[in-house]
Amino acid sequence: MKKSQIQIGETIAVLFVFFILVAVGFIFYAMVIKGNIGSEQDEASQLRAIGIAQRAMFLPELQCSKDVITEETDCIDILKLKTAEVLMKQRQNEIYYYDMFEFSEINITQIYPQITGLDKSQWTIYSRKRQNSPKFITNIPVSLYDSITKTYRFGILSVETFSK
Amino acid sequence: MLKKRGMEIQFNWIFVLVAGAAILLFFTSLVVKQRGVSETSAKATVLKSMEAIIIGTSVSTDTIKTINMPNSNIEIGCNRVSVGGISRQYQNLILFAPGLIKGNKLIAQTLPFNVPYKATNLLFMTNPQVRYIIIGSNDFARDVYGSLPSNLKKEIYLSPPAIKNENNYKIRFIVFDNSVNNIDLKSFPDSDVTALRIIGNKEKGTIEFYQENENRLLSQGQLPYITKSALIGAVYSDTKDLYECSMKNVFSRLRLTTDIYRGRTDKMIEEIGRSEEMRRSNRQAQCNQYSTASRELTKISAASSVFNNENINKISEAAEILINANDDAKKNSCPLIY
Amino acid sequence: MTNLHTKMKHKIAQMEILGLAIVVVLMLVAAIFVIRFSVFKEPADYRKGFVSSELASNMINAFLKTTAQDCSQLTMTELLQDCAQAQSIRCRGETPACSYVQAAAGSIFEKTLNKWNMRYEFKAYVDMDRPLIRLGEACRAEKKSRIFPIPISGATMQAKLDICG
Repeated sequence: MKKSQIQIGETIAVLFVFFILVAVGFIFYAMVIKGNIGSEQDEASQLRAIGIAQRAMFLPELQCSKDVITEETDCIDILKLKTAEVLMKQRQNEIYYYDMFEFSEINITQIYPQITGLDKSQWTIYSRKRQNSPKFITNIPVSLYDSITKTYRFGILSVETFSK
Repeated sequence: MLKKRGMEIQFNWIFVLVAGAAILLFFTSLVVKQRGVSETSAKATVLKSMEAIIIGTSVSTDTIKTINMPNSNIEIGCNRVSVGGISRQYQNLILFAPGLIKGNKLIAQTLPFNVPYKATNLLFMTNPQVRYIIIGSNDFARDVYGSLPSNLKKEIYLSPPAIKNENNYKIRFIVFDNSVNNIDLKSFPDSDVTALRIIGNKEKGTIEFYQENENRLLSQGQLPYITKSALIGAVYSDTKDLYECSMKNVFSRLRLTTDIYRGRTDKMIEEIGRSEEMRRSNRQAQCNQYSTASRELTKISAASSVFNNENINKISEAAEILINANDDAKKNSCPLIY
Repeated sequence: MTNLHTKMKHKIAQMEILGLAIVVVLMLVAAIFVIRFSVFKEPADYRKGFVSSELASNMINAFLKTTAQDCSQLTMTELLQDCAQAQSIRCRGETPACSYVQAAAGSIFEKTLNKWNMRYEFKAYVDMDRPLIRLGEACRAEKKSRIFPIPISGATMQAKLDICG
């Protein structure tokens, strides 16, 4: 009787230890998965920031155009910019652009030539910030085209995206 | 003693069987669950890649890309892309594609939507397993054939031929004449067959969507199109609803871009009026196209509120006038309207 | 006999314990590998690649297209061409084209690359060993480069921007 009891006890002890090991393995696996999810979230935020920056760079509402045939990349038409600054902030349009830009802020700043007097050197075409949230800033040099004087200025398109 | 021994051995084996079965069951359920999780994760990755492809490809104009991806079934709906049970909703998705894209390759093409200024890029997607059969004898048919990517499975015929079944999961007929009802569908019992009949030209016209039903092609209805790019969109979209949904989103975009151009034109009128340089060079009188342009842009903006035949005609007429005004501005070295 | 039996039993028990110990050791080794390759893996930095690949290119393209202020509406490209050839253009009445472009580039890069703590080197040259314009410091390690050829009579001038890191 005693021998078999010891035998059963031994088998149960082995199984107990085995399941403890499995449980430890599980906890460890869960910790690794949690770490991976964090890293994947960060990658997803970065990809989203790149997507938003790309959309801002190639927005037809801002892009220079010379008729239909030629289209300049990294060029923003100043007159379009001034109009877009007003139109894109209208309530019904803000909702439309939220799908494109989510929580971000898009600014265009003229660097050269330096603006003096009452003229503006910075335009904010979209702004929807998120408090206490990490952000990515992407700065893209662009040409600002004045279609009246047919001259180019140097500017920076700054896209600030707030991660979830 | 012997009996006790026998009982001990039997009991031991029963215990082993029960414990073993429990452990196996536990790990098997773990594996099955993990497999489900991995499959869902793979589908989510494909969906994330689709989102990146849609964003990255949409920003460039006049491009054709072939993208390799894991073997998946991607369902395209109105403002929705799904892989398996997971879907991503969009507010204003401009994507012309068949309802189901199967396989491990994706062909993506973009063309600008110009009326006459670029309002947006149109994104088209399909897969090399979809077969496009163009039936038409005119230059327009050849032009549309030439506009489709070369790595697409496309064929052109003068009249409905005896077509061999090549086991494609989807077949799309693009017909430029009245021969839709002459297409023999008996050779394609396992394929999803749709057709598009085109009545019009490169600028605008009407398209009629057909769906296969009991070996016959039945009309789903007609819709208008404007510009060749939108027509190419109808070639890719295999249902009327998908095409209409994307065109409504295109029109929303058109309205926004047109408002920007109108604001720009109004500002140009102000700036030209104030410009010392223009006054000195006597160009203020020559550069007088902008009021006309502003008026036509207002018409386009109003017409882009609803996607229908009447508004397409209005946009087309206004676009003609804008082209002439822009050409005028170019000739007189005035700032361009677009 | 009893001694032998007991010895055998001990050996079996020892073997079983050893077996368990081996399983634990194997699991620990697997865990170490997982920690090393999974948890301490550096997260991919997509943004850095995207930003740096576009930055040098966009910066130099935008700069060369820029119209010089107070210089008969000539672009930086045209001023550089004059800098490499006749050197006859004077901006604001007295500043030679080379000095003007150098000052304008310095001002722009000060407000952009310097402000973002990015090291760079900008050179414009016909002969690489004798640059006509040079700003910043040569990159020692990784860099993203963009060279823009500018045609001049009988040769080609290069405008090069290296962004370090």
